[in-house]
Amino acid sequence: MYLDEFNNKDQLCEFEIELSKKYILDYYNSCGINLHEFEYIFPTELATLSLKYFLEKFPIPNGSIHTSQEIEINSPIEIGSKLICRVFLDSFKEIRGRGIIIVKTDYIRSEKILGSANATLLVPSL
Amino acid sequence: MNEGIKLRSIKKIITKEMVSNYANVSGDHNPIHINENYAITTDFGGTIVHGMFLISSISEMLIKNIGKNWAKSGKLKIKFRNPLRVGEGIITEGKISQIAEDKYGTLITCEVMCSDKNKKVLISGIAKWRE
Repeated sequence: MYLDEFNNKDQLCEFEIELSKKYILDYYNSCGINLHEFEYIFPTELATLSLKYFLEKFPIPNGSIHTSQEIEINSPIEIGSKLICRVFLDSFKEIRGRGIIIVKTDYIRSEKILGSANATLLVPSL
Repeated sequence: MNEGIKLRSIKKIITKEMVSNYANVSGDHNPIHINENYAITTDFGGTIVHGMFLISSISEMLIKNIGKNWAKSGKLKIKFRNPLRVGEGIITEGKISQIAEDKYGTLITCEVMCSDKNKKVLISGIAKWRE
């Protein structure tokens, strides 16, 4: 099953993301958001970009369902910033052959956590 | 800003092209979102919009109503309730439910949701920010 080689609270991966203006514009265009003036990153853009990098490392199996999402920014993050994303398996439970997985991401600069995200996924057995 | 105030809504139709572009931006190329031949064989009966795309509409509403404070201190907790088929329309809603003072300043709590044209709730949750 997806991520079953890890234990609860294990770190899954760590990577750097750059919150470039091009990425933000591509994000707004894809979502049909008409906005051009911005100084800080908004929570959903941050979570979406880190998800992209995470999916490259740990592709989610077909048939998975994203059941809930939490995103929190503790300190303003300027456009153009580079952040370290540290991703953890926050919890894993197996119920009736399916996995309920919470993946936690901390957004870090100079070892200070600027924000975090929790994604809950329901994944099928393989 | 007062408790009970409603935010200005966002209305839009989410097209196949938007979902395809979003798949590239997010890296989520799950065929349930972009491959009609695959999606039609599933319980959904066709391609569905990414859940995180629906959340972007909530964020858009908060950006346009709140602005910088949403970026500086935003917190969002969302549950996915129902899927939306690609090509269908959505409308967002937001209502200020609590304004509280604490040692860090003013904390605003807002109930948020996104529904389809038949008023079926697609996602719902709570947004918080500081002013």
